[in-house]
Amino acid sequence: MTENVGNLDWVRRLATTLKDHQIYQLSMETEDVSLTLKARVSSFQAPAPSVVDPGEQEVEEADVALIRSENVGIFRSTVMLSPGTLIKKGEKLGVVESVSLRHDLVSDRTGQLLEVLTTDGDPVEYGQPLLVLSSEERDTSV
Amino acid sequence: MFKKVLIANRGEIALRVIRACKELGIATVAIHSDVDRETLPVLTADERVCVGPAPASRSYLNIPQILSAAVLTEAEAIHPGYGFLAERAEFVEICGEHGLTFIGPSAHSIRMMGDKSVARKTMIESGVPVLPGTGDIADVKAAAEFGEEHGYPVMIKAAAGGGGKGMRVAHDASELGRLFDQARNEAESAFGDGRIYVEKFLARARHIEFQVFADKFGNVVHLGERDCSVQRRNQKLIEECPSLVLPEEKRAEGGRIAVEAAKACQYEGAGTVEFLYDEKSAKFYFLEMNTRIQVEHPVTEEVCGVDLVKEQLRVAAGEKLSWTQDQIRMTGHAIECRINAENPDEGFAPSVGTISRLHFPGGPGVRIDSFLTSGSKVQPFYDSLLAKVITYGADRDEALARMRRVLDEMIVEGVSTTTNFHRRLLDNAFFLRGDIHTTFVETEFRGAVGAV
Repeated sequence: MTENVGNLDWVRRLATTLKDHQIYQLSMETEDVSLTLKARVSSFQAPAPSVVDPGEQEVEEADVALIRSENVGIFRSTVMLSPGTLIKKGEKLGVVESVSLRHDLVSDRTGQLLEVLTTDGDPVEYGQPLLVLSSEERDTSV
Repeated sequence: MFKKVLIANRGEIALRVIRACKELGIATVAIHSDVDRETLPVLTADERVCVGPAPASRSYLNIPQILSAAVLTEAEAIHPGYGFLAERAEFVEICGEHGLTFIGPSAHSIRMMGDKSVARKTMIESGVPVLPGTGDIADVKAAAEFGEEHGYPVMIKAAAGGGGKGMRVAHDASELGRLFDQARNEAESAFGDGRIYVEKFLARARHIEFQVFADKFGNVVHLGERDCSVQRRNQKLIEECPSLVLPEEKRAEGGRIAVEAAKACQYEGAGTVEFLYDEKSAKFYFLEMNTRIQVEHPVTEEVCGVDLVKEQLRVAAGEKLSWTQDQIRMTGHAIECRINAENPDEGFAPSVGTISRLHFPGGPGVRIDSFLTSGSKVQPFYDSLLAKVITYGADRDEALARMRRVLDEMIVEGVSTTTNFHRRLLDNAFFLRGDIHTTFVETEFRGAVGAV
């Protein structure tokens, strides 16, 4: 690493390298820079996992839960999805529009919205994680 | 030609279609269930869409999700492969309603040939020979009357049948009732349609089928025969081209009847007309027409020097057939062995697991169509076909010698396979001299090697 780490030109070059090598996401940390770069590609065109990949799975930590799409279609939110919002179990968050139907995306738990993993109008597939919730308040209704 | 095609299948046939698309410069979309994410066709396609969980009913047969995937990725056409949605007339219609080309025949042709008793009736009207048989019958009484009149054995068959399901051979009146019920129950559960008919059973007959191809302009050709007489319980094990027993004039006759059959249902695309062939009387009897590309299509490709999957894509895109009947030449001999993840020592029980070690041999005249890689998981949810091993030679002896050395070299570890079973078949004296028929494996071969 050179002293140029973190400047704009360096980020640009890094982004080009990612694209050239079809790397979907890169996270790195140095003493003074912490950076995550994500490729902007349709989810369907995202590079497939490598055959020799030892089965890397998304880890669902105990206090974090993923809301996944049950359908293939276009995702559209029906409520304002901004990190920090409290989501209630059974709350309708959006729809996945398939060819003939609109499937409701409903939260299966209560929790705080931590991250939105997709953009309105993006195509999504079966099992694709769309939202990250904290699930610490899951049992409030009990 | 299409710019982008979605492949609504998995395994070796999905890969086969992707390969043809790549060679034609067509972009590909693979659909897959969530357990197939890391399989070779999914990794090789340009785009991929997960359409559902492992059970085929919720993924590879899930029409709304597959259609959404096609529309979202802007595919122009869907190739169904074989099995799954390949012979579902309503799927063809739904594709049309959404402006997608189904790579295969029309819904009308599929309906006509898919219903075995309608197909039989159509063939009789077109002058295509069929075995004596009944129409759909309501109960075992009608079957018994047929047996009485035409003599035993008789074959009990499902009207919606295919792939050997819902079929039973009754050797006398006493076992008719039991087998009739078995066939009907099996047909009910496999096809949701328990309609049954009965046909005279032709003992020691060969299964000989003809590859046909038709375009939108009414051109229909045949590409010779495949002899698929080596079967176990009506499931094909070994296919070869040409057949040892067909003289040139019988090949021409079978081909002509097959072309007639295709014309009778206004066929389009690749299809196969299956016959039972009685060597003694040198007669063909129509069995059924399969309205799709078949598992064993490579033996025809090797002997005729054609690419049937590319031709499917061309014809579906509205092009004329690449060949006239005169241009089709059969040269040399090809054999295919279907290697399944099954344990022959335990009644061919399906075997699942992870492929720990894999080697596919090469060398002259060898073609292996398979989706396996080292580390592949063989899933319990799907068909057990692992690899199609095809060898080609100047004559049958050379093709057989190649097949023996290929099976000896091949390494597939981690699951039980039928490789050694095939290897033993290749040394069987009856098989070597071509003295085979559809129950040869259960009779002569079983006698030589023990239970199969």
